[in-house]
Amino acid sequence: MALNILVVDDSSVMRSIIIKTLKMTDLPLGDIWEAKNGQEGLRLLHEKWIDLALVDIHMPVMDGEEMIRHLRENQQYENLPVIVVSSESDPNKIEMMLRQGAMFIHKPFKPETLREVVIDMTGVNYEDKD
Amino acid sequence: MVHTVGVADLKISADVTDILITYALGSCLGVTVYDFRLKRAGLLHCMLPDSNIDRDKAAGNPSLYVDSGLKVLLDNFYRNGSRKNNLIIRVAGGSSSKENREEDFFKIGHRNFVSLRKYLWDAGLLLKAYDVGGYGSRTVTLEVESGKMLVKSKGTLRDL
Amino acid sequence: MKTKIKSVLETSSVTTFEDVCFMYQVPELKKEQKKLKPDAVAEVKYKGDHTGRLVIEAYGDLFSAIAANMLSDESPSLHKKKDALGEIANIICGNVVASLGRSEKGYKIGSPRSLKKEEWLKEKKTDKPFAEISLNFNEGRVDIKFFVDGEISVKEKKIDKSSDC
Repeated sequence: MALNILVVDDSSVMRSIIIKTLKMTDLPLGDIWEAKNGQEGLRLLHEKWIDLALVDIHMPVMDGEEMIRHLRENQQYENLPVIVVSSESDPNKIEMMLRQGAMFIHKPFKPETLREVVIDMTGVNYEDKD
Repeated sequence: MVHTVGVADLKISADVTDILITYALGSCLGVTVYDFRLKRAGLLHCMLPDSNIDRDKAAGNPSLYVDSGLKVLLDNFYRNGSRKNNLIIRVAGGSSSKENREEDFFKIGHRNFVSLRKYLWDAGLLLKAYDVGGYGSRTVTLEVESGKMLVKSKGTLRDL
Repeated sequence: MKTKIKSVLETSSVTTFEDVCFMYQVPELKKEQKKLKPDAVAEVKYKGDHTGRLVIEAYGDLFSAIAANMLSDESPSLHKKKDALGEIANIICGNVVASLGRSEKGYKIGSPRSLKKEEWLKEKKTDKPFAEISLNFNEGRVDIKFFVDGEISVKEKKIDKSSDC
């Protein structure tokens, strides 16, 4: 099964880094969609089939917290795997996102960390090379 | 047969009876590349982060530097039919030269690791595992048959 | 508090440059690095129990090298260079604000903004940063300044008083 992934971050450079890392993981990737803020992300979720969302927190128009709240309130997306990729360092906020079923990657991150978390979250393992 | 890889040296083998070994990795890095389809193994013992410091030296012995050494190593794999997806890259070493990391003025071990990660990022490759930093010496072995990489440090043995 | 913020600012900046830009700090400050003029300046504002901003000034070839390394692209566009510098400011700011102490609603971090030369020179004359650091890389130098509006110690006392009630 190929994974369709949504990357939501207001920085185009950060979106490129995340997408490049995803392509380096050997995960079976389908379409990758990009959004600049939570509102655009929600619109893409309505229009496309998405298996996993990687979401930044600090964004204009609609931030990641609000986007995740909308997702969890909607039956259609309440179980969508979400990975928060953010420089947020407030333990209370991070705890709140974890309680909403999201996983958390702290910026700055090593690409290897992103790979591990994506594999953990999706349960889709890359070809076992051992 | 056991092949010893010296300092600023690299060895590559496709003989499944071979084991590659390198000793005394302090701030140096021991980088291993293994093609699990072709059962080819390579081990590089490099000392310094950036070949731009002295291009002539790097031309004479590419294994001295992280970037030039890794280029020679990876090029050899590609020339012999390896594909990126079949390569397992691991690294050990990069220790601090002082017990208190703050006293390690040049932080060569640390710089070596950052330089390695830059090279891999540009080449579109990720590390599968790493055992770097800290204080002390490491010994690395790589089995050609299985691709098993062992890191010995302070009396402990780690399967990376 | 100043020492703590400066230490967090330094640690998070060094880690960000290592992990995201694959650049390592060089301790020696070359003479040429001291003379360099800022090539680009980016600013990120934050809002919470405290408000303020983080400003990052890139000197020498660093402005271009940041985006080039992040994207593995030797000649990134000006837009990408500005975006990359802003994202670095954003990451560092997110890491530093948490050290200002507990904030009921947390901190909101605004979108990064590129500052024009005149704008920055004008502000530079009037504002004094709460903490600042300078990092040297082979590619150039970066100065990072963290500003807190108002008196941080007064605000802390006020918070303590209210929590006693």
